This record gives sequence, structure tokens and C-alpha cells, in this order.
Amino acid sequence: MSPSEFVQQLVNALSLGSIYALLALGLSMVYGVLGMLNFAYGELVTITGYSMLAATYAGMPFVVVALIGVLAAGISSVLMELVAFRPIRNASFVSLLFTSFAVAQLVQGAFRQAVSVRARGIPVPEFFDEAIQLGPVRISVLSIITAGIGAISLVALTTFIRQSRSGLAMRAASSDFTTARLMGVRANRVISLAFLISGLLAGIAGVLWIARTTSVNPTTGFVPVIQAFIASVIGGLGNLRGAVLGGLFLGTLEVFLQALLPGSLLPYAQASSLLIVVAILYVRPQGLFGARVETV
Amino acid sequence: MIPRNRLRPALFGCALISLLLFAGMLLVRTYGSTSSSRTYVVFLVNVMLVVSLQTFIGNSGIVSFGHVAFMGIGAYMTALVTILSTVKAAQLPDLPSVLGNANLGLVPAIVVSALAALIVAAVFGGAIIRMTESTMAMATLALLVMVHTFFQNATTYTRGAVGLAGIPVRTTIEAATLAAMLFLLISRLYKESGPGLRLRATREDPLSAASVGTHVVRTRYGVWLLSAAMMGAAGSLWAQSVIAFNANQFYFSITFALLAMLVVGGRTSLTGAVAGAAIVTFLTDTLARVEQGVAIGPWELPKITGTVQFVIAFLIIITLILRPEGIFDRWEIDDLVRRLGPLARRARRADLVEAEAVAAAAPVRGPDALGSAASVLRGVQVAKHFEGVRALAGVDIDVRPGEILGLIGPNGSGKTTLLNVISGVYAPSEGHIVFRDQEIIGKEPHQVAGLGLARTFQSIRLFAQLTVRENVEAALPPGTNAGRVDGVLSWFGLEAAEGEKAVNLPYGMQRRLEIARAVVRRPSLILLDEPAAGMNEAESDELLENIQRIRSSLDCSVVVVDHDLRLIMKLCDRIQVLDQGRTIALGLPREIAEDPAVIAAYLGGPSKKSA
Repeated sequence: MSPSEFVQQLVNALSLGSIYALLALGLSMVYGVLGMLNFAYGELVTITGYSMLAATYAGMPFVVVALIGVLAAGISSVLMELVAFRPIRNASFVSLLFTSFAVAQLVQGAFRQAVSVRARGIPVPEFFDEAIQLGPVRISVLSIITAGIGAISLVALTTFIRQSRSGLAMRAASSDFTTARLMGVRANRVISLAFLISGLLAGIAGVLWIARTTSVNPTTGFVPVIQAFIASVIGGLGNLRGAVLGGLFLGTLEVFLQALLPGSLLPYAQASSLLIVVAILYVRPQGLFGARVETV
Repeated sequence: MIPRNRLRPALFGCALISLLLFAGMLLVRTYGSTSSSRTYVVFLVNVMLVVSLQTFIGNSGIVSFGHVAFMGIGAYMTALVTILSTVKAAQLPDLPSVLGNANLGLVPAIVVSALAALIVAAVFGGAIIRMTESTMAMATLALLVMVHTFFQNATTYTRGAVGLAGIPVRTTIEAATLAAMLFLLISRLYKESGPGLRLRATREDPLSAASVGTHVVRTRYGVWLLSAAMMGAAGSLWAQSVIAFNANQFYFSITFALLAMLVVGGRTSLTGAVAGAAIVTFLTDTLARVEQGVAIGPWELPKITGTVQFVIAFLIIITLILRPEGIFDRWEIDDLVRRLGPLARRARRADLVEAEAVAAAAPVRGPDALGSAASVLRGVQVAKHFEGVRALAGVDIDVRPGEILGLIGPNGSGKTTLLNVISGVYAPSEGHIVFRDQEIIGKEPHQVAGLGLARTFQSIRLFAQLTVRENVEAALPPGTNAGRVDGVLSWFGLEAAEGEKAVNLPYGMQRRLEIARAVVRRPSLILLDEPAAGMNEAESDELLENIQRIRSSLDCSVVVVDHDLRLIMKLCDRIQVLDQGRTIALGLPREIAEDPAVIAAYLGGPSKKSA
């Protein structure tokens, strides 16, 4: 791999990694507050895709289409919590996991019935496909946009969590939910907020993902979210900074495996990156950056 | 292996379900159509699959999305060794000749398939099983994705999405019935066996399971292997019932269906697993018919697809809201029958008589069993820092044989930290601890427990959903006479409540049960962390007698941490006082009560209580 190729791949890695990072962050945020793994998280990406499809049919410009996609995921996330998760909030980890699994199946089934099993194309602006020549290095516009939007979202979110009062409430709830409630943090509000932010993150990641794949089908959200699950595990479940780093790490791993594996092994790129992750977890069962630890 | 009081109902329960399965088979064979008999085989195969999965999830409490991978491995293995050589050559021309020429019968094919699944499980399990519960769920998901990718792309062996065809149909309705019965029996025997009980204890509370000597990771690894092998065998029987299949059948839709069966029926109950399999199978079958278009009188319903997924998803959500632990909750069919009939009451009485005889005959260890009169436990300059906080700043501790040592000090003085370091929960930052002539620094809690140390916890940590008797049995060292359990139960006045779940006991009994669980191990040292917390004077007097009796009849040493000074002064031979992570006094109760440093640091001035 030549140096210029390396730089190109690095930008690709950052771009894919930032999508994973956004999703892993959204998952970790809900895990932090509720101790729940939201299996239906991928469906938010799918909902983003279909909202974009509808907005496109309505003839809106791409910027509006993208905004609608993001908002749809945010709203759906809050609704999902209200309708499906709130009634059983105090149930065990396993019950919550199963419920979210069922919700995922419901949403997938709904799109299958209402639209089609087949993929539908979503047009994206043509300049996404272009590349910029920087000296010897050619970098695709989409990669730069993706990495840029990813970085901006992450910084904005970090600032919100660190600086705002709601952010403080969320951090408190995430470190000890019971105590935080005793201190006057309103549980329902914090949880709704966590789902809203987590949904918006899925929406942003969804728009970026759709811009890469330029189509949507009922299982669109599945692949990126599996990767995000794995990323949050590498980062240490519930550890927000770990989730971001885990996402970037997994994206980099996947891009470089795609670039380096011989053609016959290419179908195994995702599986290989998972294998490497399992190997890492063998050495460090708590993830690379440490999970929240239960105290005695 | 399995005590009779658990074996008998287990066999009875298995026999009941087997009888139902058998009766169903006879009915279907005599009166049913070809299609209903096919549905019944599908149901029986689902029973095998879900029982295998239940063996893992139900007993360990860990969700696995990965077991369908083992089913797939079993199915492919079976296809490769059973399809006729000529048919195989046409589908898979590049197959190695060992497999190309293989032509095995029903049972050998099942064995080979189970072995293949076992090997893959052994390799990946080594990594997966060490993780924490929620991480493990994700790792099993990764396993499913990896294995599925392999099925899709290793076309030399699998023909990917095209699939393999021509597997001989050997899973007849009779074979399937028999196999389903066997799966149930194996799973139930495992559940009631020593390893099964200890695994269920780790499900309730991994730390306290370790503190009674259970190697959590090894116990989980055992069930991982067992359930994977069962899943492989079930996959083999599945393959021999479907003729043809492809890579995409071992992915999310079947995982979803199996988890749905567990959720609906009750994931901690085998009876529930079977009920869940019945409900989901017959629902799926009915919906599949409806989807073909049904005529109701003159009206014809339109053809629709994908209803199965919807209905099952709704079923899961509704079950979780109305009955979070599933229809059967944690009950097995024999539990339900026992509640109705007098059958087991009689059995239990017989067991008690037998057990009392065993307990009476059990040797009580003599005072010389400990050997030398040297310390049971000796800690030198033990220190523990938590990110800058010095919880222990170098403490010496010395516990003599047969001694009751009181450990007191203000909140935050390091008492509980010291107990946690001694029992292996925390590794100390500095210092040495020797317990019964062995260095225990670096040992895990279950290893320290294995050396003869038992403990209780400040906040009670029982195996909440296990019965009183099971709580004590889970702590019993493997290979010891189960009669000891009865002795301990009656000692602590728990025999009347032995069938009750620990979570339902009143507070005082929970405290006693926690001590009983420690005592049944016949330890040489017991650490009691605030055993008198929340007790009134009468209860704490009873506790005092119990602790003295533990010392005299087990000849063991006791370390007691408590804030109840009246109890500590009356009970202890010596008292060690900690403050801010250091020992500030050590001596006889009388000396401690008069020590000015103790009075200043702990009692905050002359106290009436200490007089």
C-alpha cells in the first residue's frame, strides 16, 4: 500500500468509523441510563431510510430530506420507549432485550408489508460521488462529509453532556440511577431525553449510511448496528468515550481488511474483523477501555 | 450424584411430559393426516432445539443469540455425511473424498454433528464465556454473524444460499418423539445435578456463588459445551426432517422463533420451553395456512405474507408485559403436580428420616483436625487503594484456631474492604495473606473458598430464586454427603421453609440462611459481615448463640464485623479496631472498652454501652 493510498484509506476508515461511533454512542447512552441493550436500534436507521424515501417522493431537496430522516429517527426512538419499553421498565435485562428484539421484528415486518422486501433507491446529490485531488491523494467527497459531520455531531453531543444541566442529569443517572432519582432527577424525562438523543444519533448515522448505499430495504439498519453493538462492546458497554473509540477502531479495522485481504477472502472481511474483536475480548474481557463495574 | 429429593420429582416431571409427547404421537399417527404428522415432527424438532437453548439460557441466565450457529453446524455436518455419494458429487464437486464417500446412518450422523458443534463451541467459548453477561450476549451475536458468513461463502462445503438437497428423511415421527424425550431428560438431569445447581446459583448471584467455592467461568463453560452439543444433535435431526436447506435458514428468523418459544413458555422452566414450542409451532403452522388464502363460507380471504413475524413479535411483547417470566414462570410440571397432590409430601418425610440418620452418622471434626496451633489466617501489611483513596493503609491481622475475632471501627475504616481482600474479591495493592499455610494473594474468590474460607455479605446476597434447600446445596462442596444439608437446615431452624424461595423469606431468616450456606461448607474460617444488622436484642442474642455453636461444633475460627457493640463485646475473644485503614487497637474486649484511642476514634467519648 503506497502512502497516498494509505491516506485515502485512512479517510475512508474515519468516515465509516464515525458512522459506527455515532451508533455505538447512541446504544451506550441508553445502556448507561437504563442498563438496556436496544436491539431495535437498527430499525431507527431503517426508519430514517424510509422517511428519506418518502420525502424524496414528495420532491423535497436533499438537505430537507436528510433533516426529515434525522427527525424521524429521533421521534421514533422516543415513541418506541413510550410504547414498548416503559410498560416493563423494571423488568430484567433479559426481558428488556427480548422486548427490543420483538420491536425490531415488528418494524421490519411493517416495512415488508407496507413497502416491499426489495430495496428502493434513494437519490443523493451527484457531488457525493466526486473526489478531491490533494497533491497525490484522491479523497471522495462523501468520505470527507461523513467524517466531518460525524466529528461535529460528536463534539456537539459531548459539549451538551458536559455543559448543560440536562447533560449533568444524564451523567448522574448513568452512574447511579436510583440515587440520581433520589436527588430529584426526573426519571421519565432523563430516559426520554436519552432515547431522543440516541434516536437523533441513529438518524444522523442513518443519513450518512444511506448516502453510501443509496438505497433502503427493510433490513437496512441491521449491518451497521451489529457493528455498533460490537463497537460498544470493544469500548466497554456504557462507557461513552469507549463507544466512540470502539466505533472508530472497528471502522478502521474493516476498511483496512477490505483493502488488504486477497479477493477470495473479501466476503470474510466483516467476519474477520469480528474474529479479531473476539480475540481482543479474550485478552481483555472488559473491552479496551473498561466497562462499568458492579461494586460489592 | 443427584440427591433423591430432586431426582425423583425430576424423573416424574420428565415422565409426565414424555407421556404427553407420546400420546400426541399416537393420536397424530392414528387419526391425523400426513400434513398434521409433518407438523408434529416440526414441533418435536422445535422441542429439541428449544430445550438445548433453554439448557444454556435458563440455567445460566445469559442470553445467547449464537446457538443457531451450532444448529447450522450440526445440519451441514449431517448433510455432508448422509447424502448419497453420487448426489453429493453433483452438488459439491470439490468436496474432500473423506466426506464425499461418507454415508452414515441416523445415530452416527447425530453423534458426528454433535461433536462438530462441540469443537466449534470449545474454540469460541474459551473467549466468549469469560465476558460479563451483557457483553456475552453481544459476543454470541458476533459468533452467529461469523458462522453465517462462513455458511454463505464456504461454497465448497455448503453451496451457500443455493443450499444442499437430498438428505435422507430419517427423523420419523417415532424417532423424533424418542429423541425429544431424551433431550428433555438430559437437560433436566443436568439442571438438577451438582454443576446445574451451582450454575443456577451463578445466575442468581455470581459473586456469592464464587464465595461458596463455585468456579463461575468453568461452570458456564460446561453448560456452553453441553448446550452446543445438544444444539448440534438437534440440528442433525432437523436436517434429517427437511430434505433440503440453505445457509440463510440459520440466521435471525429461527433465532427469533426459538427465543420467542422461551419467552412465551418461561425461560427458566423446561416445561415452559415445551409449551412455548407447542404454541409457536402451531401458531406458525396455522398462520402459514391462512397466508395461503382461506375461504370462510362464500368469502375468500386475500393471500397475505409475513404475518408470522408480526404475530410472534406481538406475542413476545404481550407476554413480557403481562407475565414477564413466561407462562410457566420458574415452575416445572412436577412442581405444579406436587402442589396439588399429597405425593411428594410423603416422599419428603421419608427423605427427612433418612437424612437425619445420615447427619447423625456424619463425623464431627475433632479439635486436632487443624493440625498445628499456628494462625489460621495471617495478613501482613495488607493495603488496598481505590484510585487514590487508601481504604486499607497496611493492616496486620492474625486469626487463631477456634478464635472469634471481632473487627470494629467507624464507617469507612476499612472493615469490609479487609474482608473482601481476604476472600479474594479484591486483590490487595500491597501485603501478604496466608490462609492455612497458603499464600492467597492472586487467588480468585472460589479458590479461597476451596481452601476452607466461607463468608456472608453486608447486604444479603442469597440465590434469590432458588429454594432454601437449594441455596444450601449449591454451597455444598462437590462429593460431600448431601445429608449434611439437612443437619444444617434444622440447626438454623430452616427445615420448615426448605421448599420456599429465598427471596420470599422474612429478613431474619434470610440472614440465618446466609450463615447456614457458609456453615454447610464446614469451613476453617467464617467471615461474617454485619450479621446483626437490623436485628433486635432477642434476635441478636440468638445469633450470638449460633455463632458460639458454629465455633464449638465445627471447630472453626470466626471473624465478625458489626456495629452492635453489645454483641461484639459478649461474643468475641479478641477485638481489633480499625480507623482510617489502620489498626488502632487490638486486645481483649475489656481492654478495648477502656482503650483511650478507641474511645476517641470510635466511641466519640465515654460510652455507656461499652461498660
